[in-house]
Amino acid sequence: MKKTFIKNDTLFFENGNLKISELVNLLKALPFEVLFIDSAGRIKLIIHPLDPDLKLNQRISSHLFFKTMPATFDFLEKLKHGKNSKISRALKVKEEYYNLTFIAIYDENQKYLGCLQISENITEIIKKYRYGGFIESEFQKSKQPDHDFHYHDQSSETYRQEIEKDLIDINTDDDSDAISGASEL
Amino acid sequence: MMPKYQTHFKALGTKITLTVFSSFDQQVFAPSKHLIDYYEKLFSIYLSDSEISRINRAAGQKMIKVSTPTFDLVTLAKKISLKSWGFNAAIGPLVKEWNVGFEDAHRPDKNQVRQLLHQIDPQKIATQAPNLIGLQQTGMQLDLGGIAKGYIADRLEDLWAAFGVRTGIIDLGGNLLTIGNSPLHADQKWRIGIQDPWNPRGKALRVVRMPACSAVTSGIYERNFTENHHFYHHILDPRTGYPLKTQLMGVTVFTDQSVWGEIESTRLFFNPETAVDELKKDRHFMAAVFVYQNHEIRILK
Repeated sequence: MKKTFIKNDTLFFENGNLKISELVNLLKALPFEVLFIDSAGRIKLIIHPLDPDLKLNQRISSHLFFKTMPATFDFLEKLKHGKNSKISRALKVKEEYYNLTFIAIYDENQKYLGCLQISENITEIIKKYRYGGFIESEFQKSKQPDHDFHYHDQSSETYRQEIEKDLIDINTDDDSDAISGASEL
Repeated sequence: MMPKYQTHFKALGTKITLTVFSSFDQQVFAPSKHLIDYYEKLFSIYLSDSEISRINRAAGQKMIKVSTPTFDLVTLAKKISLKSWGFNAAIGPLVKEWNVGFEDAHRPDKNQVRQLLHQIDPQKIATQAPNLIGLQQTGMQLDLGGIAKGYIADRLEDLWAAFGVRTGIIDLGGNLLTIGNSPLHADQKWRIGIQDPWNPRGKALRVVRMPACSAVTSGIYERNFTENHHFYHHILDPRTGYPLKTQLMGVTVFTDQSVWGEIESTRLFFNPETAVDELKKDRHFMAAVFVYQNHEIRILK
């Protein structure tokens, strides 16, 4: 594997290169929160924080999602000890849905450096799909689903209408499961 | 065939049917009944010690301290009433005078109707946090009949979620709320029948395939009477004090929450030409089926 190196203000990767300013803009454009948590469990990088109280060098144990999801500690341990290289979880905080992905980062000697925690607010995506119900069922699964969400902005209203058009069939010949009628009283 | 577990009982002045699809989920039946009883004791105008009856008795005198559910529901009911979509939470005096659905239903004297129209102004429903409700004019009476069952159905859904019930049907006298994916069909959609107004209860005119949703029907075919060869129904127009003049027999509205089903079904019964874009603004509306007195059927989605 070709080594990554920096020359002048350019980062040279295996499959391309980026100027540092380009990398900064690329990170800024990401549509989710990114944290880098070092091997000691301290936050070393914060991009688009969902929790405004998040601070550099703060221990991840004081982070919103850590409190909300006690399993986070277990995830970090698994990544640290090489049991997993990537873990994904969906969770609900108050009325908002989030998809969290933890990705282990190793150096060229396979020494664990820490992990990236990517947290995306997917409430809007859930709303778009709620009438189909299949995202809800993903949340019920105990295994990690490979979420493949679309990030580009689909106009929620037209998108919802399209989904509904597909889901609602007014003229079925089936027997009914229940009947809606005007209240007797 | 998928096993079905049901309980039937009378409450809220109608027949309640709760359906679950696992034997274990039957544990939710007893707490559901308790919850319905609890809300009925808060909201019913037919129980003299309900919170709504206490508010009505104190009309023009004082505000009453009520429970949070009553406060929340009255606050929402007032908000919707002020939109003039047809629903009016202060319609109580007129409802009581007409008494449609009961043996002594009658057409009131026109002067009496005119007088009662002065007692149904929803602006005069006073709400003051925390939990104080009052009616600012003597003779005013709240009637949450057009919205309470929807609210109760939504709270039952919350209860079922707390009990881990993933799929089922809450049927509060024709006001339906389907929970989760249907285990009855391969496509996991529910088949919801729309009551045939010209046939006995339980016969569907159309069957609609829907994901989990609420289905609420406003219709004139259940509660009505004839006097001097005139047909009168129970959906009173708060602008005139008389049953709404309509060509509709009923409208069934599909929404994500049952309380919004109640609101939107009344709104569409009063304003069948409401634009679908307007209905979709609040993001609760999914579809509606209109059944007209000339047997025509119109679908809005």
